[in-house]
Amino acid sequence: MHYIFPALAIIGLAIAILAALRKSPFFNYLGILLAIYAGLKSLSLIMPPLPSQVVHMYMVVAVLTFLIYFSISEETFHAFLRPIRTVLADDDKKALRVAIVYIFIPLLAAYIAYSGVSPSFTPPVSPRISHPEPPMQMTFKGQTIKILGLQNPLRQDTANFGKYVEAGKKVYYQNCFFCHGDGLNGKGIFADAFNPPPPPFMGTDTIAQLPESYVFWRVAKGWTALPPGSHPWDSAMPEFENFLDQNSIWEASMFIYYASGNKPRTF
Amino acid sequence: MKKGVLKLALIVIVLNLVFVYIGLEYLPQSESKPPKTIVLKPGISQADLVAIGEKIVFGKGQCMVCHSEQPSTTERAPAMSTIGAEIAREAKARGIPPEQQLFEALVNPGAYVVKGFENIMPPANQPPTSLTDGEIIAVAAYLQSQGASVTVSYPGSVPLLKAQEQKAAQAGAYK
Amino acid sequence: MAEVSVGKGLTKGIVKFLVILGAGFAALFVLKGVLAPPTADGYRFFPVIGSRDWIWVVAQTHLDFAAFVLGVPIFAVTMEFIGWRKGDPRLDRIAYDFAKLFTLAYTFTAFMGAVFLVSVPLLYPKFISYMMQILGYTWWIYLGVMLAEVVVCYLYFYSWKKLKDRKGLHVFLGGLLNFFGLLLLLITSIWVGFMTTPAGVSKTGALINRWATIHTHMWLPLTLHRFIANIVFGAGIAAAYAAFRFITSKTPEEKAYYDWMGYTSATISIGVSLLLPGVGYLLGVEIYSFNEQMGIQLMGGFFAWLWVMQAMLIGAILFFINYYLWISLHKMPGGERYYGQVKYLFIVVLLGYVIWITPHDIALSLSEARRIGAYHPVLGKLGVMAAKNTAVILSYLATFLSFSIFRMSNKEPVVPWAKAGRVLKALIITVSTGGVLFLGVLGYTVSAEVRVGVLSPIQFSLFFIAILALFLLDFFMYRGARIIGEPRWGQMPERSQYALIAITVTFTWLMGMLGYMRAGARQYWHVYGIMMNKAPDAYLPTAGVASIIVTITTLLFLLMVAFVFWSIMRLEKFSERRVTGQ
Repeated sequence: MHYIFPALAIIGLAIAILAALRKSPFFNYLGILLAIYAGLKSLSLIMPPLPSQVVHMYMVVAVLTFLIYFSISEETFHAFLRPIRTVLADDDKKALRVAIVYIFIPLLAAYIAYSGVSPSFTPPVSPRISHPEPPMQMTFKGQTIKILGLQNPLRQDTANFGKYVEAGKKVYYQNCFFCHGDGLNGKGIFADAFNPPPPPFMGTDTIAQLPESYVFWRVAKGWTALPPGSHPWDSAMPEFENFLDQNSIWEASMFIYYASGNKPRTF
Repeated sequence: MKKGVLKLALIVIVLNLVFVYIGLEYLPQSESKPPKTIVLKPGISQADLVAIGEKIVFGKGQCMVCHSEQPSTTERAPAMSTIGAEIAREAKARGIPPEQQLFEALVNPGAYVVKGFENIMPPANQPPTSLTDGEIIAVAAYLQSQGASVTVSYPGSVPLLKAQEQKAAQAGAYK
Repeated sequence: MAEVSVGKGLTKGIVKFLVILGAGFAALFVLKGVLAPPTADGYRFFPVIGSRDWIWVVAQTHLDFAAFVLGVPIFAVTMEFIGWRKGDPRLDRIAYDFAKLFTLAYTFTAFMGAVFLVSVPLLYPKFISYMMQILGYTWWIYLGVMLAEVVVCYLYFYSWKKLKDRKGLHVFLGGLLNFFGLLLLLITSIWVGFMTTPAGVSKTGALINRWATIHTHMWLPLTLHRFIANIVFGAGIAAAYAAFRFITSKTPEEKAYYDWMGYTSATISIGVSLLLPGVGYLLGVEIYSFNEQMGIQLMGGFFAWLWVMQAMLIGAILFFINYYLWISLHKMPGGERYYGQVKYLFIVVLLGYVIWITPHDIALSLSEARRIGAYHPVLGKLGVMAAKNTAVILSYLATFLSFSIFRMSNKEPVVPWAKAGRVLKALIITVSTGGVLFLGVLGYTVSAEVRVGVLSPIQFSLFFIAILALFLLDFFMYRGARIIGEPRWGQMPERSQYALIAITVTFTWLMGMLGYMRAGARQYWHVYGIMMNKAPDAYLPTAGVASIIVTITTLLFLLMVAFVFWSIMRLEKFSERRVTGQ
């Protein structure tokens, strides 16, 4: 099931190439569209799937622009229209015409009507902010900490770097690993219970994009400090200021950066 | 020729329909309504005052255009969630009562600008927001509720507010 | 249009203007007596659709026409002048055709203006009497300038044939026409400027400084922005006219001429539109310096999503013009040598468009949020300004290349360094594209301040230097070039003309939308911060409702424009018949 879209993409590409060789722009067009759609869908194999609204938008653009592309040259455009013309006008295509009018169009209408009225239990879509603005300052067990320009104090002690990472590893496996996972991939044993799932630390998309002070704030304050636009109730991150001291949080942060091969953003 | 013109008209209409479709389907749909004047009952409870003030801060007062809710690195004006404490602290530093600091900040904001910010706030009793005395006191109550204890009341605090307005007018803050 | 003497034409014009104006004032007088008195707040209500929407449609249609009749004369006279100096009769003919268009369109402008003139004082009596009290005298000046404009316009048009041998005088008349046009623009911008960014009055609205009420924050930048946009828009309508005539003409000569006219107008339109972002930026700066709140509200607040819509529309315009240029290659002898390159240009423009409309944060359904989590790598990387700026610049570069390929496709350079020139050209394209891309990628690794303050300006200047260098290189390289064959003007499929029409429709729609945003910046005020709008429809509608009304104005305007086109064709037929004596 996972590989249906890549397979479709290859089929689409094959149709497109074959049609290009046989100089049939119409099927070339259909092949390209199929390849693009399936290609966008199969992105889910290597990354989170694209939101359906974005796929929809890209497809509208693709349908219109490639139509434009195939109508640039006069010959290509005529060849493009030929299959449509033959289906509409040729005598020997009568069976196909009948099938379209009496079977395919009603089926399509039925499908649209069905999907329009069939009940669905999904809540309405809502906009969200991926990375809320980091705050200026926060309180840690009543102590005010200025976040802007906040540095990890342990990083200055370069001689003991390995020791801190080792300590951070312990902190991680005692606190974080249940959700964020053994491989720092966001696939811990509890991960499936959350919606949205906990973010992975591997790769360059999450912690690599953030300064270490942001990580400290996010760990210390958890979901409670997220602003309304980020839907605090969409995060299950606990307030670790209640369970850990500052040094432990910094050690854990050093560990996840070290183990995922990332460096904190410093600008 | 006739066919060409018809096709042309079709293009015009279809293109317009596409634009309307985008406008209706892809863009978020919200209206922006003009505000209504809120009339307060004399002797209103502090809890009600704070609730009304909150509504004004997030609505017709348009405070959130510049103020952010949480303190953040990109803020243009002091954050709302800690503003009561902030006002109390500034008042203490200047050696004036917190109510005076509060009302001055609302109706004569240019008189004292907190360090690190620019003088960009329009007086709340002047257009375009033009809040009434009662509304300003409600806003003041809400601000105090964010990190300090509420001490203003309606109509008890009106003379204090009036004094600040007068001072601002004399200083030429309302031109 | 019928050939009539200068005197007769002029009289006709003045009579027409006075009749429309007189009818307007008479209607105003009569309706004031007949209608019920306004409410205590000073409002009357337009039946069914409400005053706001009625005024919106009337004002926008009037504005579209006004933009057209003020914009077209600017380049009509320019072309007449160039045609005169170069002795090119084709340029003179196109200028004459432009003059035909705006002279006839004046009637519609005046008509819509009169409807507006009757509607506003009746529906908003209190507001208008306040405006008259502050700026009333400019209104009477406006009427005077308007009359002068009409006189010069009709004189300019009807004396075309007669002053054939005294072109200098005639071009001077055209200059005068544009001078009055600019005055009209300045006066109308005073009102809008005062309504949106008022100055020179006390907070209760009493007059303090007369000059300040004129010289508001918005006045000059708005005038400049309108001036440039009018040229773009006027040229767009002229292109649509050419397309319309192309489709309806029967002889190859006519087709050839209108094909050329469409190409020329579209080039003017898109070329001048390159200036608009800069002028728009000036206007934005003035709005911010008048009132930060208004600026934030306009750029990032209630109207934020309409800027996304604007990106989609401008992207579509770029696509249409590229399409038109690509089709045009087929009428150039030697154009077939460049078919292969179209593919790559298409891919660049397509990718640019896709990146431009990729949103950063999007509404997700719950199941999607479950799988995607908080962060999507594609949206996160493409939905930011660093990517969008790069994409836009590269799309514009591709558009310029389409244009330059089209222009040079029927020529073969003969200068000795032609080969080196080709290499240099490829080098410029590679270096500028590579540079823009590199800076774009670099933009991800630096702070936002550096990106906006240093990298983006370098990107934009790289773009402008590149197109300037390419233009100059083409100019010198193709000096005295061997011409493979003259362009086969007129041998274009009808599809290409639809692209021109599509550009015009999109421009009109865009103008309607930006006009709404400009007016909506006042929110619930007649005069921002000074006179409140207390009417029941003083709210800003949803983006959907706004786009419906913008569509209505666009269709209404285009319908009237189609009528203008049709009347010109009828009058032409009529005078032809008279000439041949049938």
